[in-house]
Order: sequence, then structure tokens, then C-alpha cells
Amino acid sequence: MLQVAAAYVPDRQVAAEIVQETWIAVLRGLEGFESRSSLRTWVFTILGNCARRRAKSEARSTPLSSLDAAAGPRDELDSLFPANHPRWASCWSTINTRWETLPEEALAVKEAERAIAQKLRSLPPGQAAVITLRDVEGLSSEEVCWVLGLSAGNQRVLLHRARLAMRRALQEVLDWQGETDPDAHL
Amino acid sequence: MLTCRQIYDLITEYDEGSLEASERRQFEAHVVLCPPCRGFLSQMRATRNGLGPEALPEFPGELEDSIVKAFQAWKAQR
Repeated sequence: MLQVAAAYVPDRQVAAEIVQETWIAVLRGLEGFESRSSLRTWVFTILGNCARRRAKSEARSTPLSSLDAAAGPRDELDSLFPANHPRWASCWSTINTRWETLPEEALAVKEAERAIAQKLRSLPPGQAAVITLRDVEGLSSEEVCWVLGLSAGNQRVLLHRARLAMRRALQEVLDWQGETDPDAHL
Repeated sequence: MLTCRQIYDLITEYDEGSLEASERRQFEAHVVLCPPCRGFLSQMRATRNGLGPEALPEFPGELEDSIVKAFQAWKAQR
């Protein structure tokens, strides 16, 4: 919840106040909850409303969808797809033979857990909010659009960038990437 | 035929089911023939599936305390 509130206000303390305000609103509204949505989605919807209201009164907020516009995965693209490669422009520059046999259990190791948590904290706020609600809390894309007030397209862009960043962070600890010879592509 | 670079850009839209039918077919045709892209797709899915509550930052103790106090005050009013 803090992660999501932090997407709207830069100050952690204010984000914490939004979470508290949300819980109070949840307690007050609980009897009237009509289970048209899941309880979880309902709580996050209240959080989104509280956060937007607060961000507006703080008067230093930017619309969520514009927050991460500049933070694309450019650096990764340059290393993965070198534009000037004589034979393999737009193909992978690094090929990993181990990619096909992915050790899913590797994700459970402590090091990977730490890398995930650390990366999640350092993501731009909009990306962090979207990936937290989708992949950690398990909300649907429609629910996330509703909670965060995003268009479907913006939700997807933020999710895409966030997942790419998380995959990259995991790659660094798990050494998913092996050979670096582009001609291995043959 | 889509390039690997385009697969990279479209991978989330594919998994979200938001590609148009013709684009989805092109995506799948590429991935079937391209082991690195298949690997990339499986890594992206493993990343998504690997995210759990342990990824979230710890809930600050003082915030928990203040929420508990707010709850007790709310309960006392009833």
C-alpha cells in the first residue's frame, strides 16, 4: 500500500499518512461494502482516491502516467540490440543457451529475493505501483486502471517497463545470460 | 516477419492478450522459430510469477502502531 501511495506523493511520511487515512476510511465503509469487487480491490480503490485527493492538495503532484515517461529501458536496449551490428541488427546480441531451461526454483533463493525487493524500491513510482498491484497483489489490468486512474495503454507501458527492469535485475544475480557471441545465433 | 527487437517491445502486450489477431500470429510464428526470444518470454513469465509479498518493503512499525490506535479509537466510538 505504501508503494502505491508513494506513486502519488514523493514524501514517504505523506505516503504513510495516506495509508493510515485509507485504513480509517476502510473501517468506516466496511459495513456498506457490497462485494461488487473483491475486498482487496475495494481497499486499493479507496487508497487511490485518498492518494489522489492528497496529491492534489499537496499541489506538487504530476499525473501518474507522465511520471515515468522518461524512464524507458534504453540502456538495456543498446546492449541487447546493437543498432550497428553488421549482421544481426535487431537481433539479440547476447544469446543464452540456458534460457530454455529456466530454473524456476532459482527465484526462491535469498539473493534473488533481495534483488527483487531492492529493484522494486528503486523503480519509478508509477511502474512500482502498477507492478505491485498486478504481480504482487494479483489485481487484474482493469482493476489496476480503475485504482490508479490509468488508461489501458498506459497501464501496459508501465507494466512492460517494470517487468523488463525486474527481469534485468534477476538476470544480474542469477547469471541467466551466458554466451556473448552473436554468431552463436546460427 | 517481426524482428527480435519487436518481440522485446511486444512481449507484455502479448502476455496481456492485447495484440490484434494478426499481430499475435506473427508474434507466435517468430517465437516458435527463435530460441532466444522463447527464452526471453519464459524469463519474463518467470519474473512475473516470482514476485510475491516478500518483494514489498517492510511495513514501518510506527505506521502499524498508528493504524492500530486509529482502529481502537474507531472501535471505542461504536
